Amino acid sequence: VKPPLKPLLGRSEPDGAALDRVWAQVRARERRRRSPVRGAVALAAAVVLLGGGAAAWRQREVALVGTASPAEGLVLTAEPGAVASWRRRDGRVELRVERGQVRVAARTGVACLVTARTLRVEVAAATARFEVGEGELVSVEEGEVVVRSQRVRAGARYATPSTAWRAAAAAGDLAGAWAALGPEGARREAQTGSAEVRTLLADIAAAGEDLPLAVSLLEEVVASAAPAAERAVAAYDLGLRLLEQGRPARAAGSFEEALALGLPATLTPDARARAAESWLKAGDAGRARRWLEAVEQTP
Amino acid sequence: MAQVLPFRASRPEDGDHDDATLVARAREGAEWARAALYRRHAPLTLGLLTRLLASTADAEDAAQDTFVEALRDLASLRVPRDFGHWVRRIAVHQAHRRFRRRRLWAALGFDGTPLDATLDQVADDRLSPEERAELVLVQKALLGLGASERTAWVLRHVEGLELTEVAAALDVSLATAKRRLAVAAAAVKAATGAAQGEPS
Repeated sequence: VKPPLKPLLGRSEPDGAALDRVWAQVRARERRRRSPVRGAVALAAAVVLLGGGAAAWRQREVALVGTASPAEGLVLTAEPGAVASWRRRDGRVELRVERGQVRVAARTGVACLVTARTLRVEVAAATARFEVGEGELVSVEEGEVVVRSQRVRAGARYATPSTAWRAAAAAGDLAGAWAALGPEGARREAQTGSAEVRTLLADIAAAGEDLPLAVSLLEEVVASAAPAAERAVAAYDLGLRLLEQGRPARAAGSFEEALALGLPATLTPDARARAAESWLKAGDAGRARRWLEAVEQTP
Repeated sequence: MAQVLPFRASRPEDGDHDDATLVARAREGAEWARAALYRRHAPLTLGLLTRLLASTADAEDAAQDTFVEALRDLASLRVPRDFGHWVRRIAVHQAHRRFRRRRLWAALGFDGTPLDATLDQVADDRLSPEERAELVLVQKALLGLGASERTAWVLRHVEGLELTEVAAALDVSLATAKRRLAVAAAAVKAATGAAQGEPS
């Protein structure tokens, strides 16, 4: 064989499917990289909650292993695998639960301030069980405690929304966030989430290939009373999802709405090009041409 | 936010713009321009990486890293019309990273990457058994070489690049590129008995 060998190696040329796969991965990684704002907010919150607090906490802390009674009438019991520590401060016992289950039994006249990741709960004249996993759970066995302004009585419990998906999303791992959420979780989180959170949830649903859910979440944001800038981004995202679904006429309308609402400058040329592409696919060459002209006129 | 654009091997509208224009538009945030740059350069890049790494999985992985890096660092590209050469240099760098990883894994006693795209495996069906056997020998010789020498030989004798292009892709001087080619050519010659040396 004579060099160059490349003309003899026809089967080393990539096919369209391989190029599609690589492009999909490139775009997914760019998408993760481009959501640093959302990620940074969550990360900053996590640093404040976990990092900043941890430094102060580590002063004179005592690891809780098994059962301890740091004050008369107060019994702390860590379940196997739990990571927790306690300390005395200003005449009071403070307990920090980082992972796993810890039971706190406080007789009348004794109080223990429990920090379970994002929760701070005072246990006095009560017995409560704290569990930190994907979220935080407080189960009251005797008496009552107040969690985030809610009274939780004996036999009741308080659970925070799952935090795992937020951590995964903050790290750019949308597939991981989807694995933690699933469709039910995404719908549940969307009920109380801001427009920005719902847009992020739509991204996550799309990463999980649940396009109908992504579209539904974005439609809600676009139709909401959220600030125009947030609705514009949601409308742009919605256009992309509708295009993926093969609904070009509706996609074109979404891109136009996004432009009308005032997209960030970096997205404007692309939205115009997408509008042109969508109208072309929808068979409206006239509108497509107008948007193409707008693209050409973009400085 | 972003979506995956379906790959189309040729889009006439991409041909309207040269690389310099596409790079300029991509730097401004035009998604279509980034996609167009990918469409234009991905086939060559993925093909090159397949022939370099002899593994389709490694090649796709490296191509992914190559374009993530190239599209992310567009701002640092000094001569926009040289996007293609720049991507090739990044691809070669990514291939070298994978060669290093393979060496490390081998040193740790793990099985190597399955090679499913060796020269003989990706050869056209029209090659004779003798020619295919020769490719097996060439591949064996290449696998015994260091990453730099192997890459130099593949760029020159598989891809058919000019010496100056080989040196640019390896980011070394012309003299260094020639030295590496000479080492590789000697190994291939020893394996095949064919003369594929470089004139000095």
